[in-house]
Amino acid sequence: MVMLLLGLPKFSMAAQADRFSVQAALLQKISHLMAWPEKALKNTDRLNICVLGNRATYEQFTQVYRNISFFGKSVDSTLLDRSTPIDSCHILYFDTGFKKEASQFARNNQGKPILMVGTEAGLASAGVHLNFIVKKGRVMFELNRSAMTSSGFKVSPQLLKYASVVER
Amino acid sequence: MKGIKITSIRSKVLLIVALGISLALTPLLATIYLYSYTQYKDAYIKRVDTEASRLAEYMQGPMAFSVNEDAQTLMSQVSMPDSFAIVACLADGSEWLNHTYTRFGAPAAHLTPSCDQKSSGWTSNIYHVRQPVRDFSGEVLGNLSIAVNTDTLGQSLYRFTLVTLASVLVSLTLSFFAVRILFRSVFKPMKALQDRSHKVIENRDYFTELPVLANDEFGQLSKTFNAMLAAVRGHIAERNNAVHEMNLLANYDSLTGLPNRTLCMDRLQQALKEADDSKLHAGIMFLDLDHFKDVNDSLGHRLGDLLLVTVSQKLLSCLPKRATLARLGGDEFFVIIPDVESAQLVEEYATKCCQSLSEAIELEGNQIFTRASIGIALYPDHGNNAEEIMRAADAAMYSAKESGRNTYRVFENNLSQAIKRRHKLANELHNAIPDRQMYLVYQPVISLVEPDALGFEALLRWQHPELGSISPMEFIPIAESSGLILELSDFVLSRALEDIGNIKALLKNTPHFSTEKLRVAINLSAAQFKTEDLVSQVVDQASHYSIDLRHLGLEVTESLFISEKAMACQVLESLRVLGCTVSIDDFGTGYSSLAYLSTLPVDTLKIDRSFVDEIETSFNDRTITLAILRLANSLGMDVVAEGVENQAQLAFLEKQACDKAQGYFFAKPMQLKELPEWLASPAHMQKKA
Repeated sequence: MVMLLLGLPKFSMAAQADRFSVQAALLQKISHLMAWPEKALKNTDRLNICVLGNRATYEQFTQVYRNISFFGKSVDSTLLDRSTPIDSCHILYFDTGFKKEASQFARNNQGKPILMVGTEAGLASAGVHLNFIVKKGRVMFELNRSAMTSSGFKVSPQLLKYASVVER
Repeated sequence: MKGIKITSIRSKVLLIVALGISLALTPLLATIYLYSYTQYKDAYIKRVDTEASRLAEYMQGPMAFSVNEDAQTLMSQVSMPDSFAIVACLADGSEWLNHTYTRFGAPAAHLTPSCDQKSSGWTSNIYHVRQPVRDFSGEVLGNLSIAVNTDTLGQSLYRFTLVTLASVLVSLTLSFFAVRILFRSVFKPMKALQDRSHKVIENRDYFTELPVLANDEFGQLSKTFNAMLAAVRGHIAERNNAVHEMNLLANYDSLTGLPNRTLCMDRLQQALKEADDSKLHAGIMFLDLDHFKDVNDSLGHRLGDLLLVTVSQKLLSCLPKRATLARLGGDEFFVIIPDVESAQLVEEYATKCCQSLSEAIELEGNQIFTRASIGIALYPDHGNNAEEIMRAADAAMYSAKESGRNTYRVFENNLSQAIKRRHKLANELHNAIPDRQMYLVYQPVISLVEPDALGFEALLRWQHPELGSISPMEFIPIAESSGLILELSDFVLSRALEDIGNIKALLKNTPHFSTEKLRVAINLSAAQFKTEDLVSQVVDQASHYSIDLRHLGLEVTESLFISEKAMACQVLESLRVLGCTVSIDDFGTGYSSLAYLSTLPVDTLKIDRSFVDEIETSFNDRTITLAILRLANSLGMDVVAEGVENQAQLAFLEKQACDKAQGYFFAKPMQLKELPEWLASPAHMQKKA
């Protein structure tokens, strides 16, 4: 496994924003090395990121992702609640502190063309497609290849060189 | 400007084949070369492009995550065929990383790839590649600009070109030598033909045939050449035969096969030279057959020729082997006996020849008695050169003839006078008629049965201003041999016709003779019958002198009817119809057959004087004379006895009822001016009575 190491700022509001920026940058780089299922993004010109987290961090997330585009599409973000239809989401972002819910979501939405991105250790094994973790002050990401495959995502071999691959 | 001259067909064909091969191979080789060149270059470019493409693929991750180390590692692992330089550019056009690699010592310093490069292509010997690095969805992450120093490609292509050219040259050279060897084999018959032709030219060897080495056109050419050689051999043989024949014709007598005059002269010169060298003599014999003309006239030329052949064989049998017997022409033979010590030996051979020839020769049932007169001369005693010695032998031969024939004479100095006389007469005979040296004399022919009938025989005489009277026996043969006999005959005819008028006038005054019964006879030569206009000539001349042809008598010899019977009969018959009478002169001495005498247009037979001469004493002559008289009587012909010289002869002839007589007993031949006196004399009447 090739590890991509990025510097991780201290945990604070500002640090929270930096964390989102690093992840966004990483996610943006990763997006160059994978492909969305063919029909998933066919009829939309915007990418909807649904965030599972608290409102405060959501606001930070929104600020970071406001000016970012993935796959050539502008990003919309939605704070996930019970009324939010999952199928409207293209990316599910599980913020720190929601590991249990994230695992549940992962189980419930397996095989759907929704890229699930976690931020806590063990979520990749739980079925989340990409999981950003911090080791020794460095941001790394895990990639569940089987989840990716079952959801119809195509992954570049080059990406596998920089990810911690989870086969479950 | 002089071009290169190629003279041999082999070289020309070789050049044509070489040109053909070159023309055929050049486009092919050029196509192959260009194809290979392009393939090689394309493969090179493809390799560079593939490597660039592969690098771009591997650069996807490092570029996406901006991992310099990985990118640098990847660039250093690139394998290019030549030195190269890479610049990795980001999507915004900024340079991210670069890498330079030197290979095979090719310089790389000048390789300056740039992020500004828009496409792949060539700059001089540098190949530029612009290869985009794309993400998984095809979005451009950045670019790779690669510059490759293609010196190796250039060198490889240069080597490839050199190898190709070398291969072509080697192939052409090998082909050239292979074709040359093949040509040598193919053209071997041509070379053999050429060599053989040279031998034919240089050695004139027409007999060694050319071996046929092939079954192709050259083989046919060889066969044709051999056929040509055979034809040449044939022509040479024909030419040799012709030369041999010409030599024979030029040097040998076609009738007898003996050397002719030309070769004879050559042999004579040889014999004279040998005599000079050996201090001995060369014996010469000039041999002439006596009365050979009579044989020709009486028995014909064919038998005459046979006689000459027989005579030549007889002579050869009498002569030594070293002697040369030549025929000079006609009945003249010439004998050269080299290296003799004296005339005695030559005389012995001459005696043998005379004896041999005196024996009767049997030819087709005819017994021919021939004789020869031989003149002998000895070199150098009788002449200092060939001409003199021949003249001496000729003179000796004439001396032998004058001595009574059938004998030989050795040259004596006084004999040359006879030769000179003969030559003088021959030369001056031409002018005898114009100079009025020729004249006619008339010998009376007396009728023994008709008292008033009188005839004359006109006889030609030559009164030479220096030599005096020349006998017809001497000048007639000269006239015959020189061709003047016709001129003399014309003169006789013309003068006789003219004189007939004069004689008639004389007879008018003579009471004993009738002018109506006058006949003047002239002798016709055989040559006159060979002219086409004898009859018209006689008629014209008679008309010119107003003479009735009943007064003209024509005397011919027996031999005329043997040699030219048909024509002679036709002419004489025509003249008889016109009134002329025809007599056979010297009858009994010739070879005529009595059997056909009745078929001849003849009125009178004249008994030769040789029978009359001995009529009193010779039983044979009397018997022959009587036989002629009876024969003529039975055929209704008159008979004239020639050479009557005494009363006894006349008495015998009168008793045997001979019609006419002629001879000195009555009168010698006399000139016209003497006739009146003779006619006035009663002597002729008294003798007849």
